Amino acid sequence: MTDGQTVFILVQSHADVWDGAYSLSARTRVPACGDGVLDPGEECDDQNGNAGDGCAPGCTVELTEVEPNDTPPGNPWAYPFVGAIDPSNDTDLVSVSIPGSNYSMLVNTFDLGGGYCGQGKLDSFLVVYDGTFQSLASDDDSGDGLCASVSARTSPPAPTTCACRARRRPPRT
Amino acid sequence: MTFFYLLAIEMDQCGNDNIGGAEQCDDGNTLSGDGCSSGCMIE
Repeated sequence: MTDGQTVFILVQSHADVWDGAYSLSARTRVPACGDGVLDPGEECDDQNGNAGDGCAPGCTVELTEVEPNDTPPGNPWAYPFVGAIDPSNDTDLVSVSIPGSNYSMLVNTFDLGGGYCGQGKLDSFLVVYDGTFQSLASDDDSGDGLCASVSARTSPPAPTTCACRARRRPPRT
Repeated sequence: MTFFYLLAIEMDQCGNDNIGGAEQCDDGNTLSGDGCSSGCMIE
């Protein structure tokens, strides 16, 4: 939209069984890097101008992942870990060192701006494996929006490495 | 279309008196029967 442009808003009922009064609100804003909304041309927007947190001050991602990242041992995890899922059936593998026995871990995927896991466009799936690639836990949508959140506990003897597999859609069963 | 994600991992050892990771509780020990299990889950 441009300054002075006229736009029209059409309001229709979804079905003819309800009628009544309603209120209509409309807001405009200037798309900008750093406003927390993922606008066209932005790879990310985390509402700050900080570098080193996964989203650079110019709203480009600070990518951690090194492709190809589909087979063990995968990329080593470090915070912040920013990965890319492309194409949609891409599988990313991240290895995590467990410092000792009796540890638990909480693993989450987040988007990098927009909220609600990329406004519902980023549907990640997480699996946590032990050091012998036995699945410990998995999750699809327990995080924010369609983001994944999974918890796993290491049982003695503790695996030295856990692998977290992220993918955009759940595996077909 | 490329989708970027941030992978966050929180880890914590059960019995260190700090609630973290996937723990529901941590009473500083790994004994069961005291309200917080050996796996740091609420009993």
